[in-house]
Amino acid sequence: MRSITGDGDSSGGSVPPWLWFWVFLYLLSLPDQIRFYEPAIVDLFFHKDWLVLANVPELLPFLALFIGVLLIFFPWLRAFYLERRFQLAEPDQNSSALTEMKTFLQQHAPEIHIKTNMLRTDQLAFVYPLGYRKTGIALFGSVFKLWRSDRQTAEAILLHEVAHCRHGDALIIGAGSFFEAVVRNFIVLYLLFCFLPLSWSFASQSMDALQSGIPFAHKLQQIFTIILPGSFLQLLGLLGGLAGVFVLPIIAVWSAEFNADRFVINHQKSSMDLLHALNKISLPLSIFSWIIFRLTHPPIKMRKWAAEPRLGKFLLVLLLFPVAYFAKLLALIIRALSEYLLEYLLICSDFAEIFVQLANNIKTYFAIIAPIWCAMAGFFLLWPFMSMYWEQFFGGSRGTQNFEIYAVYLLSALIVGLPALSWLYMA
Amino acid sequence: MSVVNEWTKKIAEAAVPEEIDLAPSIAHAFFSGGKERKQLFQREKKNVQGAFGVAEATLILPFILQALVSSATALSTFISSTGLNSFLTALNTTFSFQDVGKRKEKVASLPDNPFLPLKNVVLTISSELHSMGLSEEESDLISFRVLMKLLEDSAGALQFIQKIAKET
Repeated sequence: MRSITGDGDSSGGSVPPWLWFWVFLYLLSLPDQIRFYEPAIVDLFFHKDWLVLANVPELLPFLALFIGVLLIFFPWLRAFYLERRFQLAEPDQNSSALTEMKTFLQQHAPEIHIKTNMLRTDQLAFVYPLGYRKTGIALFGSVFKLWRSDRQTAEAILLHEVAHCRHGDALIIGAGSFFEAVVRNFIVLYLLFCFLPLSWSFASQSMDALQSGIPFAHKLQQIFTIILPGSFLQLLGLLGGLAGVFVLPIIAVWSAEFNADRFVINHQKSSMDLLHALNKISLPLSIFSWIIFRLTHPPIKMRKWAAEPRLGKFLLVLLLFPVAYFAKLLALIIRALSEYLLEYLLICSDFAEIFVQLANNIKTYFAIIAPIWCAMAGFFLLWPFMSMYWEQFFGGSRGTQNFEIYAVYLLSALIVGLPALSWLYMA
Repeated sequence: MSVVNEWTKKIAEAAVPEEIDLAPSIAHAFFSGGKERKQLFQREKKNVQGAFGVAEATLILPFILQALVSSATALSTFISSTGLNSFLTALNTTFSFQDVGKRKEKVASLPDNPFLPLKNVVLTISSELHSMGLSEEESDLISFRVLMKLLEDSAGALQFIQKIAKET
């Protein structure tokens, strides 16, 4: 085992850029996805029955992701939006803290461009694309303050952002920009586009039925035996669909965050300052805001857990993205089950058939992801050789190849590759 | 504006040195009013992709400026009073105590003549800062540091207080 040192930072291994891997797979699967959603989109625009509005909550996660990925190709739009939203401006060159931060940043990411908003303290710092090969970093008042009061912690925060820049995350991390808007409004959209039209349709049918002499008690019974359970199952199915669409990019973003934290630890040779920095992060006030925060970052407790320098933990962080495929499977099972149960509720289909169909679908799922997992196993094996050039391409300065922990990558490749081969064999 | 900038920087240096780099921007935003001033007190708990996370930090300097503006009358009376040297001695003696309770007792025990303007101004600034969410201890210490700084150059401080009272 040997270690090749470049002119950049020391490295104790990094997480493969799963976000890039996911974007690549997403673009490959796009024609199939468009074919899958096409009927719902066509219905929405050309079908005259307004009950087709129920397609909107189902289509939204797909559209949010599609637009997010599309915007990757127009990085200037994201830059324009973020600079306006956070009122970012060229920095005040008289600030000595800025000069020091600039020098520090240039050591690790020579081509990064600084913009500031010294008046806001609700953010610390973030990176964003200024072009395909140009990255900007936004620095806020809180980080200037921290630079003076606790320099090491401030450096940990800047190094985390540098890591995003060197890993090429800045260009594509905006793919999930619309997740929050969708999740925040999903229940309202469901009520508006699904529950309300359904209730309206049921109410008007009931009026007709009552006029034709069908007893009111029968209609009331239908509300409790069909409408309400059916609406619940429909909502559950939509939430399963939403999770199924979002889970992979979210976990890919989490992997990028863990990797950025790991870069800090590798560089500072200690996790202490990173832990201090994590303590500066504001905690969500409610369960809902906790969920919203999870769309962009892993839980703080998890980041602190992963910050401990143990190979076992690094292995788990490496495997986080492949494991997300099981989370996606769970979401899809919830979605499928709710659809089958809805069908059972409405047309009393064969209950045993549901499980046969479900088992077949799970088998198909594994057959579909098997080549992806094989590719991931290959990526694990190649990444330690590639990482140095990858960082040089995005960050401008060369990182380090560290083969001392190659065994962890090898083990990850085996953990991912062997089941994938067995699924291929079974298919 | 140069008087305001210069004094904001001096106050930051004395009371919140970690905010010294932000002093010119804060002074500009605070006295410009409108959206820029609003931004100083804004807390939008929204995460951004590629960020480190939503910060817990708060800027203290805008609160100090706000407290000075609200206490402008008491401050003008205080700085225009005779016997500033005795105020300076009293402040030094009071703030030699570590305990906030003892400091309060000491201030209360000062005779009204000639210390009434000092007692008023300490109480006003400290309560203003406390009402804005700062702890009692922090409010008290900041008030002391700001007053000490103002007393270093009473003529300039009076000009500064008059200016900020006029501009807000």
